[in-house]
Formats: sequence, structure tokens, C-alpha cells
Amino acid sequence: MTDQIVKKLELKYEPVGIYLIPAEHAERYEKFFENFAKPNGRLTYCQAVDTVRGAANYSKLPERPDVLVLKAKDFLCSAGAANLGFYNLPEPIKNGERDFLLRRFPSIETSKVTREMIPHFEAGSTSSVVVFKLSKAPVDPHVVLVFGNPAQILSLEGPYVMKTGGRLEIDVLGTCGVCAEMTVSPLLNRKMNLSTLCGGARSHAFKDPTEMGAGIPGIEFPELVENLLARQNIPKRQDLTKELQ
Amino acid sequence: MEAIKTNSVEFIPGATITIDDDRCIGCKKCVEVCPEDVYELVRRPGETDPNKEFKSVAVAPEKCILCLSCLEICAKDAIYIDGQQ
Repeated sequence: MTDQIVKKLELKYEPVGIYLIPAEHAERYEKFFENFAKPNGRLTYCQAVDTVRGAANYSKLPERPDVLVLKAKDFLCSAGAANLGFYNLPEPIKNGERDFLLRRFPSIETSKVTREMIPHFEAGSTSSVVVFKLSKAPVDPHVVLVFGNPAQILSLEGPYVMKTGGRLEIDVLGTCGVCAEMTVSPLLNRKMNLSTLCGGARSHAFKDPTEMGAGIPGIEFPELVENLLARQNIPKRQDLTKELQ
Repeated sequence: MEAIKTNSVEFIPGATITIDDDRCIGCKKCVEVCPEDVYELVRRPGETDPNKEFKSVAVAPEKCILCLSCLEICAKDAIYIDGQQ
């Protein structure tokens, strides 16, 4: 399936799978992943994603891993870790002060309201996150992240609603792009979300300014690929006419 | 350095912060943007170049909340947090 989507969309890097280990009964899940690579120093979530897909190696391991297991202590970006449910946001980020000081908003109030609206899991609900190259998936992913240029991401939109029809409503701000918009939002809202990534992701990891991303709930990914490939088999107008005759 | 305590959902601040003295121009942006007052501007002893009179120093790295604002604002890529720019 990975090969098919990479070939069909001519993706530069293959999609990345994400598996979140809940804090409850974490030891049962973590035992399964105990032999997979852990980073040898702090890195941001987006750097972990960029590492496993093969664009760079931020893990500080001698060889770039295809699978990385991250615990709370491994995160360099506290906002990313908090969005993923590892812990509460530090107070200056939560109360809007940090984004206000960065001159992103004209008041702390606006900054706070905006921060509250960023998709996030409950603090303490996540114990570990497993990030992996999709072709090397050790488990079925909760979310699949696809990165590509706008034309490549566009190619996912139609197939996503191919059978039901309708519209895609996108949950986006350009803040916490890979963690909140591409990972948390698809899980909370149970639908594909698109992201133009964020300043942090582009500063710390994703260096190609033409790239954007789509986060797809893992359970929907096989059908999306199926629909993507099925498009070429949709009857032509001439064939429909023959059928109608 | 542990970011959180076992069974805690509260973030525990603290990071290893290094500033590249050669790159830092003492523009004070990291001082202004840091919500936890991790940085202070200090005078470089004996410096005669007016453009390099001051430099930033991480005086309270134990208060760092890993918001990475300083990395975002530093135009000279002079700041490293846990070894990363």
C-alpha cells in the first residue's frame, strides 16, 4: 500500500505512521516496542517524523532509525508534547504570554483563546508515541502523515470523499502543524486534516518550503489509497453511454 | 534531564542552553521574547566594537520551558538548546 501511494503521487518520501500509547496500561503496550530505537537526546516531534521518513537524522543515533519511540523526556518542544497528551502546557504558553511576546497577537487574551483552540489530548493521557516509516510499520497506525507539494496533497482530497461526496472542512492555523493539525486533529475529529505545517516545523525540520501535509486517521487510510487507485478505473463517458443504450 | 516526574502531568522546566559568543550580537531579542527570563544581556569586558558591546547569557536555564521562542527569534542562530539550534 505504501508503494502504491508513493508511486501514484510520486512522493519524495513515504508516509509516516503514528501510534500513540495511552498512559493507562502503558507497560503492556511499551513491552511490545521495547526493542525499537529511542532517541539519544531531545528532539521535537516534527524532527522525529522527519527522521523516520528519511529526510534527516535528528535522533542523535549513529544510524537513522525507521521506527522511533518517544517518551515525555525525549521532547525538545513542550507545546508539541503537551498537544500529544504527555503533560500540561507550561503556564506561559497556556496563558498566552509566550505567543504574545513573540508578537503573534496584539493582546494576551487573543493569544490565550487561540492557544486553547489548538487540538490537544488530555494531559497525562499519553505515555509514548511511536513514529515510523509506513513501510516498516510494526503496528497499524492511528494516524498516517503524508507530506507532499500542494498538487500531491490535492490528489488525496477527491479520493477521500469519493464514495460519499461532500466537502472537506480543514482545521488549520499554521501553529503546531505536525503535532496538533496533522496528528491530534484527525484523531479527535475522525477525519483527514490538511496542514501547511508551522513555523516551528519549518524551522526545526521540514526545510522544503513547497511541502505541506495531510493527516489521515489510520482506519481510513486503506480506503483512501484504494479510492486513489480506483479513480483510473472509473468508466469513461463513452462507456456510460454504451451501458445506457 | 527528566522533563517530567513519574506519574506527573506537569511539565518540569530546565534545559542545557549554550550561546555561541561569536555569533551573538547582543540584540536583546531573546531577552525580550523569553517568558521565563532565562536570558540577560551583559557587557563584554574590554570589547571596543560598538556592535558587539553586549552579549546574551542564559542566566537561568533551569527555568526554560522549551517553548523555543528564542530559537525562533534569534537572527544569528546563536542559541543551542540541548545541542540543537
